[in-house]
Amino acid sequence: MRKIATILLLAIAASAEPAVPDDLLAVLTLKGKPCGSIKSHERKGESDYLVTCTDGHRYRVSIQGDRVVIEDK
Amino acid sequence: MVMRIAALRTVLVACAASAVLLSCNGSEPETAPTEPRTAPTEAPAPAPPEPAAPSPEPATPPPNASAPKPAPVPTPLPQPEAPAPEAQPEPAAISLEELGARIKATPAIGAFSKLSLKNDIDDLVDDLRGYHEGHRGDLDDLHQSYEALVLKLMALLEDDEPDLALALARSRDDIWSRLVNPAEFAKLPN
Repeated sequence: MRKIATILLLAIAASAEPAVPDDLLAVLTLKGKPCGSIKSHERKGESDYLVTCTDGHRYRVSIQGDRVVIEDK
Repeated sequence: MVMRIAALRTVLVACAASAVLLSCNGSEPETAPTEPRTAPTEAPAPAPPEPAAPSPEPATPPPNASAPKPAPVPTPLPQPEAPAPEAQPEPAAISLEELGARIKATPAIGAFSKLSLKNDIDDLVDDLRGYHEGHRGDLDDLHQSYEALVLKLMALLEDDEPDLALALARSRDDIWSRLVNPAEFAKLPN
């Protein structure tokens, strides 16, 4: 019973967080990178994503050390 | 002689007729008082004395129609009742420490975005430290960076954390004045 409650709480917490594409788009916007919206994203590693935007831009968004790094691809 | 008598009779008849007329004129003021009364009473138009006279004279209603004039007196009464301001509780200003804690805790901002914001805040704090320690950099440029950062935060918060976004908007000047003050800046945790 306790396990079910924990799983439900985790699911609720996960749903409260923004989806990964939304978070990636927010980061690109914060950094002033043109994108439009996220067309697709591919996970390359932990906290490492390759993002393809609807306007054709492609970025690699990752966390290196304690900083968010965005590279044009 | 006969002529005299006839003339005297005519004089007597005329006198009698005039006496009758005079007596009639004298009695008329008693019967006619209703007409002269109504005329003076209509001019002042006080309501109480009128009700007795109106039965003989139907012409009084028009002056009574002007009676609704007292209506404007009750109209001002509803006006004072109309203003019913509903005060809504306004979000209070927020301190820098509380702001940091709430941004860390909010689910409205994703992990990448939070870390990116933290990077921007750290960069701004480093620049401010340089300004306070050796007056390096331009304070106007630092203020612009700060305002841009606040706007980014508010944009991220306004949908899911509108109260926090509003509190940030209310506190932005206080927080900046604290960051610019060297004594207050030195108290900030590293």
